[in-house]
Amino acid sequence: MAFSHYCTHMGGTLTYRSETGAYHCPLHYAMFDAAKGGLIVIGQATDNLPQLDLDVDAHGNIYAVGVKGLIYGRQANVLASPDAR
Amino acid sequence: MSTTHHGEDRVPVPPTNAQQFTTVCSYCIVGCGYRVFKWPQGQEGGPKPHQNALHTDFTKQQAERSGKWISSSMHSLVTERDGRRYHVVVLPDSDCVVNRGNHSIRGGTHGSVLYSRDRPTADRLAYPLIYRGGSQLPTTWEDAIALGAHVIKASLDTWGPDAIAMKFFDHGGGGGGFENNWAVGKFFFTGIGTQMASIHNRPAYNSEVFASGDAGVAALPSAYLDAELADTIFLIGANSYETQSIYFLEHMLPNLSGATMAEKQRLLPGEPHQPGKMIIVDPRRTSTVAIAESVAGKDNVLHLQINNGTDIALLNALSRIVYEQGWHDQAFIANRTDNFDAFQAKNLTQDLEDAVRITGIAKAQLIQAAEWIAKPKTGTARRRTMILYEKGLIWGLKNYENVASVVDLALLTGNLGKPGSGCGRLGGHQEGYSRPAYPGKRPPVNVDEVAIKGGGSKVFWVGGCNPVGGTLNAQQFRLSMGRRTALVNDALNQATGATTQEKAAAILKAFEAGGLFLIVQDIYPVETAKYAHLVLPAAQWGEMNLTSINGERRLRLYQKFMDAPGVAEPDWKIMALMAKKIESLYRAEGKTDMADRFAGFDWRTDEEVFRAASVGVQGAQEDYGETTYAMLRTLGTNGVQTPVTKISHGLPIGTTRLYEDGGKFTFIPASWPGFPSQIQQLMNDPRYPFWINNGRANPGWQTLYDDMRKPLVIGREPLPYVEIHPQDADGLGITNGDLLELFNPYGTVTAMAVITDANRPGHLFMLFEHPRGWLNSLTTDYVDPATTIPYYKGTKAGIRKVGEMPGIKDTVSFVPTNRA
Repeated sequence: MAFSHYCTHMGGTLTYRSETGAYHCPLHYAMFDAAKGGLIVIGQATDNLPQLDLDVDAHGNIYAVGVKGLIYGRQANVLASPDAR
Repeated sequence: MSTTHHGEDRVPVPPTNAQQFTTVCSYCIVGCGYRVFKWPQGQEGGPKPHQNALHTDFTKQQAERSGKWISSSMHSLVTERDGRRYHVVVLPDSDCVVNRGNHSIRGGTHGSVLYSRDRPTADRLAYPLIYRGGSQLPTTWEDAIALGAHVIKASLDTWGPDAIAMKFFDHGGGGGGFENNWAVGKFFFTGIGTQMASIHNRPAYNSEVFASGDAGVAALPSAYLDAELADTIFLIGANSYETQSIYFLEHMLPNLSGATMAEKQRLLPGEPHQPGKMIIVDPRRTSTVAIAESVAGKDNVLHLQINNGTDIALLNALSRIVYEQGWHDQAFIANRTDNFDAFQAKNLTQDLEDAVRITGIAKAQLIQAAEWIAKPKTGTARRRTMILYEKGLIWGLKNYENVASVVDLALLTGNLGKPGSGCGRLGGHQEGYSRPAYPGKRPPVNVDEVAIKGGGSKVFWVGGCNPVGGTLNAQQFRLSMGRRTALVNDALNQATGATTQEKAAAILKAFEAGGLFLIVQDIYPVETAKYAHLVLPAAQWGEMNLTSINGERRLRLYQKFMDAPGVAEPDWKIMALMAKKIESLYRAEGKTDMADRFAGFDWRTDEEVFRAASVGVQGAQEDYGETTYAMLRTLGTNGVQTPVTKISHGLPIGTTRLYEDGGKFTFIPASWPGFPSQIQQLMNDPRYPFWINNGRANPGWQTLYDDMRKPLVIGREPLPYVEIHPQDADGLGITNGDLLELFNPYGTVTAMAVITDANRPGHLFMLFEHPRGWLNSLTTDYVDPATTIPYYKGTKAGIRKVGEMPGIKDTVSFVPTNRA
């Protein structure tokens, strides 16, 4: 299980706290439930926390193969190339 | 596999040539500024700074708080009336002094509620609907208005003005504003002349703060700046992180953290300063308490966990301690107030031991709170305390004395008219009230009881609210509406093919048997509209120009940036359509005096109504004088704080805070009255052991009219929930997510259990105004007889476990919300 670590409110860096089972944002106190797909518990974020789709290969390597939702600070999850016209 | 909703994984960036507008949030009192970008489908800005209207480099990950990130909830693709499709982005404005680029979950999701044919907002009301043979079918404005006008006129002629009842918004922000309010008031008060008027969230036409007005204190005297300068912020009956989120985050918390120390020293030299302290009076340990403690440290936050309904005893006990310690402001009392003796005889005789017993708050905490409110900082420097209250107090046990006792505390301690002080509402909706005077008396008539349940009125026009769940004792209200509107349905069912006049005659006959003709004017087919004979489609925020003020009286223009769906019109235009039709019917009969009452609705633009409405705010805290839309366009999202004192160099000059230059105030005596008989009966009945408190929560807005269409919000709150203490849950075998029935003699409702220690054992908190379970089915019919304001916040009920709701339980979170 993997999530974006930027808060979907204003991009604060989230920390996981085991006593709540949630990711907490230090900027404006948003919380996201790690056990419920990044569902917002409380806070001013305007999307649930983007979750990564994971895949494991035969060697046990874990790959992120997709993202549900849009990561904070981006217009698309894969940044446009600086070389783009 | 998670069922958690996520928005789109890509949003388009506004191109450099996107149209730009300024506006203000449509929701809460705080009134954060927003910028709107609009551009045609098929175009898009590029990722380089020179290629997009945000001048931002989208090839890089943005830093935190960039103010330039567009979440998927801030974007929509809309269709205008001419069929053209446009991208619209509603982005928080970093240049607005209210929010500084910040936003709440409510305002930050405006993109989700713009009308769009292929999104959940597709069910917006786009055409008038008329009752025909068991259905509500689309019709023309002419047909709908003609039937309404004939029925209203015939009722007026036969039974007089009070045959027409109304329940309408009176607020600012979305759906309201000075423009719509003025037209509604002119129609019902100048035109009809009815006393059977009530305001969207209550059974009568009243101020929620009559006592403050009687004391000479306007409802919104302070500036948000004052929360940055105060030595102590005293919150009573408010959960500000969740309901005035950006006021709390941007203006209160920086004071508690010490971030405003330099500002305090600069603006208030010559006195000692410390980071602010906060007192929070709430029966619940809310997220607001937890966050304040986290920011300020537990030693600087005092949570007074008060028993439901006992605010007056608390406030008077605080006043008594302040006075006995000599911490009161003698000069202020002598120079600026009268009626102190009456206050002393009533409020200051509150016995402290009684107060401890009644409120459940320890004496040491009472003394600590009194110190933080009023103990002078030095021999000459008084504490600057900002006293802020909202629905917990306003809708508490006794509205008039509740508000009186908090204003009295402010007068005793001299906390008005100086920086860092004040005593006012935090606010729910924004404000935008301007109307001709209400023709009724004070205390105003209880319209729910007299006009609707009591059968006193024949026509009921509901605008921008949802009283079948939003009003007190809602189950009985709902059942009465069902019975009475069905009589009109029966009459219409038999009048197939009838002309408008024939229908009106049939309806009038049904009135004699107790029938009620219901008109509902709204943006969505809300639950109340199910009973309606006419449904009138209104424009919403962004679909007309409107003006409102926020909680510091900041007046701004909310610009129109898109079309309303179908033939929906602004409320002021709908009122004008009806007025003009009634006027023409009277003219045709040669009844000039009656026709003249409905004249003067010939406005052509939103601004013409705004200018007409200025007469209704003269001398009030909202007074905007000669301000025009052009001036407000220039002032953007910062606007001007009313009252406007003059126009200088083409722009209005406003007022930061009230009463700096004077003002005389009156102490209003108040003492704790005990509980009324309705509550006592519940207290004495072992079948109803649980106290039920209620309120809004962070994600949703009021009756959730928009939120039902926001996947983020309705995904978080698919059902109303009720918070229950672990001890009570254990005793009843309740686990998180169980569906519970709550019941008392007034009604029944179901809600999902959330187990939390936020409330004391025996005390529940339920989300209010959720269309899938109306808390108000449980509230009693008690209103403060002095003001006709309900005691919404306190009732008692029993619980029965219904069972599990597996499909829903697995998709919601039970992590406590009060853990910062």
